[in-house]
Amino acid sequence: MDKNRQKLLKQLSALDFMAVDLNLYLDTHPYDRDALLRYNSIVMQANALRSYYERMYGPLYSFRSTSDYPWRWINNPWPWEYEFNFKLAGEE
Amino acid sequence: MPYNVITTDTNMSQIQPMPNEYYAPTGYCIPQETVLTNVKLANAYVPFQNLCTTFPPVESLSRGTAFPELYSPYRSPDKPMKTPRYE
Repeated sequence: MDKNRQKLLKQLSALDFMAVDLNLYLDTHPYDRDALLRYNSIVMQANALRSYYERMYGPLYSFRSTSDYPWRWINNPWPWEYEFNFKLAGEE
Repeated sequence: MPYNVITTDTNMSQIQPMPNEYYAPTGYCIPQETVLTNVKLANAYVPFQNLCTTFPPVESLSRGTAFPELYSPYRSPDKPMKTPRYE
């Protein structure tokens, strides 16, 4: 998969990961204003990146992404295929 | 004076969280509550976390947590080793 798409997908996954981590923190710290600001900012960044990605490379969800004609969801590669995903191993 | 006060080792807070342009807080910040009072022997306690800063997104993903204070890889020189200090 092309370099730029891989970079975009990794950044998107990283933002979603942080949103989940901050969500877990907020569950026990609902009054932490700073955490909530960070969470909202992460979610907005992720949404913006997601719409950009989908405009460029097609739907990421089969049930909440709009699609050009014809229905693009069935195009390769499928999300579970190796080629679809970015490489993270060995970076830490 | 409560019969036992455990101040968890604050030298962990000397490990400055990695500076991170987007999220760096201002001022000095200890990422957890540091004084537990009336704690009983042999009971497990988890100090309450206090958000100071987070890793940048991609580092959070590869490290498995967004919180520097929770990052503790099994094999790594920077694994924070601490012993509680009793007063």
